[in-house]
Amino acid sequence: MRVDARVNTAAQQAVALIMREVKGARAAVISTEDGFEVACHVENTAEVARLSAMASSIAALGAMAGEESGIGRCDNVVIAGEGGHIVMRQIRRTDISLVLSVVASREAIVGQMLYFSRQAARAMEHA
Amino acid sequence: MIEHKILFTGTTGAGKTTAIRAVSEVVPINTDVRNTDPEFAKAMTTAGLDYGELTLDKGEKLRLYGTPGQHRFNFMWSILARGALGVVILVDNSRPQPLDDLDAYLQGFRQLIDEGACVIAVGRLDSHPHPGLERYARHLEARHVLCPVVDTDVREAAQVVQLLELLLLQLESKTTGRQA
Repeated sequence: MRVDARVNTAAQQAVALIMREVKGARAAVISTEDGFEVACHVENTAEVARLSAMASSIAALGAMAGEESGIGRCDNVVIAGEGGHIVMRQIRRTDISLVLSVVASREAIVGQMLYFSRQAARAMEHA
Repeated sequence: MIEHKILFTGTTGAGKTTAIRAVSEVVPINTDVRNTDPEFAKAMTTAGLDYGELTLDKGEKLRLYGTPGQHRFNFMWSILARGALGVVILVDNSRPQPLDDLDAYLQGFRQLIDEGACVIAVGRLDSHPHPGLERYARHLEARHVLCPVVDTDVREAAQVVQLLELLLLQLESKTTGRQA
């Protein structure tokens, strides 16, 4: 197991929160920062392993872009597609860093995705 | 000024980040994160890319990109290969099956290898002499890949520069061959 049982339980609760609260949520995945799945809830055809690896790369690139541009650490990356949105949110615990990815359809409200992603991330950071 | 985009790829721990760091004239950009994979005994691993720049004596500027090594990041391989002229594949000879490792990158970068240039750089040959360079050459020949295979220590800047010069030489001869 890559993460301990407490983190794993908190991750399961976090993805459940996202799927319950975010309108139009299709998938919620929590991955290690090097791209391995920890918890997921998927209602579409998203390939979780692939999404985990991509979340890892995108979060790392976001962090790099933030540093290089002098805007500080990167908390979120938002991808706006024709058919929906993806929010990737950093979860920074003292023992491990994780990435939460939320995939939602077009009817989702990005502000709401960001709000609940932050709630889920904070709950995990203090679990 | 002539600019080339060159990739460094290869297994995790083979030295892609080290190679770029050894020769870059600018502060290298890297996207290292904590490694949680027990298969690789290293603290950090590249999740996005490495980037560095090097100007050769002839005035050619090289933009050097390092890929993540793990196969799960192969979507980054195709992104980074766009517009690249060549690839240096780093092989760690201390791994259990280095020739199988090599195959994954020959396959992953086949188009770039066929259309551009490629150099295979084998590391840790001094402590792990088998397979030897001749075995690598036969392995490549069987896969219809024509490219140099060299013994390299990527911690040495001069050796990394030699790899890049070899790559450009190969590119030059390919271009000349096409024009003839």
